[in-house]
Amino acid sequence: MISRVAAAGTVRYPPLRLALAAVVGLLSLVPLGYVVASVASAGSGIGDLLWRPRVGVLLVHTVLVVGLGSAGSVLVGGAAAYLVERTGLPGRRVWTAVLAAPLAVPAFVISFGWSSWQPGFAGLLPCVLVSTLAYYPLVFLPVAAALRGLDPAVEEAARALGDGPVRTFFRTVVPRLRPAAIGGALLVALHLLAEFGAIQQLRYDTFTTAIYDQYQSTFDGSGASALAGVLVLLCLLVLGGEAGLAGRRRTARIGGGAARVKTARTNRFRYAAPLPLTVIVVASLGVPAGVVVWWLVTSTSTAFPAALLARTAGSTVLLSAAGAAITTALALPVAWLVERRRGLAPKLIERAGYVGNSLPGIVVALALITIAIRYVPSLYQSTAMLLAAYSVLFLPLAVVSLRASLRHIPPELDDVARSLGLRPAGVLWRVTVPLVARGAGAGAALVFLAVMTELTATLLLAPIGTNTLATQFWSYSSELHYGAAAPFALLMIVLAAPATLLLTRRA
Amino acid sequence: MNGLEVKALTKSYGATTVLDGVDLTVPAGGLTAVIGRSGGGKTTMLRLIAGFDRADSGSIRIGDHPADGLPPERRRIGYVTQEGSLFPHLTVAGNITFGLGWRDRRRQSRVGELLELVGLGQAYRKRQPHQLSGGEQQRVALARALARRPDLVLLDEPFSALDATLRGTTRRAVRAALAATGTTTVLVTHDQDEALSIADRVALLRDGRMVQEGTPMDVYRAPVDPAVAAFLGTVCSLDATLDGDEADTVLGRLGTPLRAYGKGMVLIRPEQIVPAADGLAAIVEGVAFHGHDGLLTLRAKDATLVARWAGHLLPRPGDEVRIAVEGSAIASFPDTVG
Repeated sequence: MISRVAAAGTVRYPPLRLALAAVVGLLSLVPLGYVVASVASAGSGIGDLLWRPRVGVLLVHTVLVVGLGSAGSVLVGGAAAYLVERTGLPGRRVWTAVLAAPLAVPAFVISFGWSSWQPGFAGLLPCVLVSTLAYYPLVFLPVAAALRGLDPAVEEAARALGDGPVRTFFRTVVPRLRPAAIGGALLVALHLLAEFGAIQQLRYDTFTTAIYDQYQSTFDGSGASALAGVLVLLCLLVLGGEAGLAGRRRTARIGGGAARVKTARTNRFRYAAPLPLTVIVVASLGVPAGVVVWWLVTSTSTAFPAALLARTAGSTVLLSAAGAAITTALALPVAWLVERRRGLAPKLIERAGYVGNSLPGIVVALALITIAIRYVPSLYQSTAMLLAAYSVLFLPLAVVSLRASLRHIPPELDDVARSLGLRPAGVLWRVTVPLVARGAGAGAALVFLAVMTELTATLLLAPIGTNTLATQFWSYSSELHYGAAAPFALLMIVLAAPATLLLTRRA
Repeated sequence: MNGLEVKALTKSYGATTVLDGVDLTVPAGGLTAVIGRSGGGKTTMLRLIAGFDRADSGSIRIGDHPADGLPPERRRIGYVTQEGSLFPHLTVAGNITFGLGWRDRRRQSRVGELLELVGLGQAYRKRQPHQLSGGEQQRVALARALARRPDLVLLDEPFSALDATLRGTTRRAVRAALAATGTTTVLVTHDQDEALSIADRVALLRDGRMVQEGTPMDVYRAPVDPAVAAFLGTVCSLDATLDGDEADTVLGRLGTPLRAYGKGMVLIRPEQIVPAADGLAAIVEGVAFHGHDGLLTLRAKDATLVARWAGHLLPRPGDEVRIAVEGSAIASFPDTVG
């Protein structure tokens, strides 16, 4: 402990790592800078752009979708976590994997399943339902992990102090799940602010879809970026909520005693639990998968253009792998600096990364397009710029995984390696990299998944002629060629499955 | 030649001065224990010697070379932490050869010899760190530190994370390995028993300064002030009238280490108060029993005394015993000076 404090006192940053991390941080700030600059340059005109009934409607719509979708995710994800972890139902591990699987299915595939099956399925409530089905795993996974990590001795203490099982649950378990549930809910909220595909498909409009339409119809930056300004403001509000709650996020385990092996718990919901869980799984996975297969089998527009499928799958995997590799490499100096050095610089760089990730893909894409056209036209519609957008969007996914594994490496190992004659670069190569390899792999898998299912930024930024499975699916399904769209959805899910499996096995 | 020379070392973190001009000299091949309370600057001093942090001022000389400004990897040191800090991704052999060149790493040269040195068998070569007990981990950590034949080994509370039984055997194994290689060693610890039992010399760090340095016996028997005396072991203080080289106390006339006059106080160790058939009468007020011995709280002529007697001699509370003092006082302090 003393050594950590000592390290904090002497804030010495390795110059190369600091420089790399600073560049990454600046890159993450580009979109925000763009929004601020364009709002500022619009000046008084901004009022005319925003003070319209249309903007009020969008605001109400966005708040409704985000609020109700997050609440639904907490309800469904929390209940699922309880049923899986605390009822002793058989096949706990299988249920965990299946319930986490919607993470691999983009929201616009789930909405496609429902809306192409029931053509009247559109509007607010369907949006909330699909949002919940697509994003409840973001609450389910952390809450289930928190439930698993709770020290049973605390509950036993409550029972010994005279509380019954239900009172014990609400007085000792629920409060300790709150941080996980709130963290998950905020994540859902950020995703929903940025959600484009599902909401567009269900014929509702929020800021994100409105920005897209505005840009596509007019190619005019100012209207779109005024709306983007409001969207960014909403994101910052959510982030602020997170920062405010983060201070109270600690549910410490006190005392260093050995954690006891938990005994299997069973209760009377043991055999009833599979029923609601099955409903969740059918609604989130069964319906989309069934509908995709149905279109494959029956539609007249079904075609198996093998060459196109192979080419699109190939470019998707290449883009995802490149995005994952670059983002993970960029995340390493940031994660190292944040975990190993205190002080202002690491904190700012980390925050900058979160700002980048919480901005909707559409804002990031708009920013990069505008800047490229103005300053580096050769970058416009280049693969390099698309990869840059992916890095900005998904950097925190890699940083979080790397930080988690770095945190488990005692800093003393670095000191010992130095004392054994290694220079800092040698320490990085022979100690840090082997030890964070697993975390880096998990982070890379997350980024891979995210890139594979990314729609908005790819639609706007991909070089002409480059299609991913997501964009190809999107263009067919928005032309109502459901049968033609189906094979791309299927392939996307099949390709995403291994990475998802990897992640749930780790969780 | 000295194995380590530290001169006027200072270090502050912000407004907090942690080291305030520390001097320390360790003879070549010797083991000096630096003791002091937690947070007293011991670890900071060790990290400065190792080169993990930079001192504000002062100089450090390791073996025959000045170390100031050198990065840790060029100081020719070995460093063992509280938890051993073995590399979890490497086997025992991989850990031990970590600091050697790649050819030696591949051949695993010296692994057998080093394992033997720290008292572990060849079977340990292929074990993973998590398969070892805490004591075994510390031995491997020492073998790893010794593999490069360092000029100086720094031990940062290496036994404090071990339970009592492992601590004793691990301590002996570590001491034997260091003695066999003749490596100059600095041991940082807050455990005075440990320091007194395995060190050649003891240095006491307090509030960022070295307050006393000497052999364990000297420091224990002639502490420079009451705080040092109390830190190194239980003391019994007696009101006294100081009279030159001697002092009059409730227990009679005692020799004192310093010449002083007037009202004051002398300190003795509890084990100096022994049963004596013709001694002073005292009432036993309390007995803290430890098995092999016990601490008695005694009351004699309005004075409260503390005595340490062997377990089989211990009386019961309320008994009357007769006592006398062996040897002279370990310290004396006139009231006027405090």
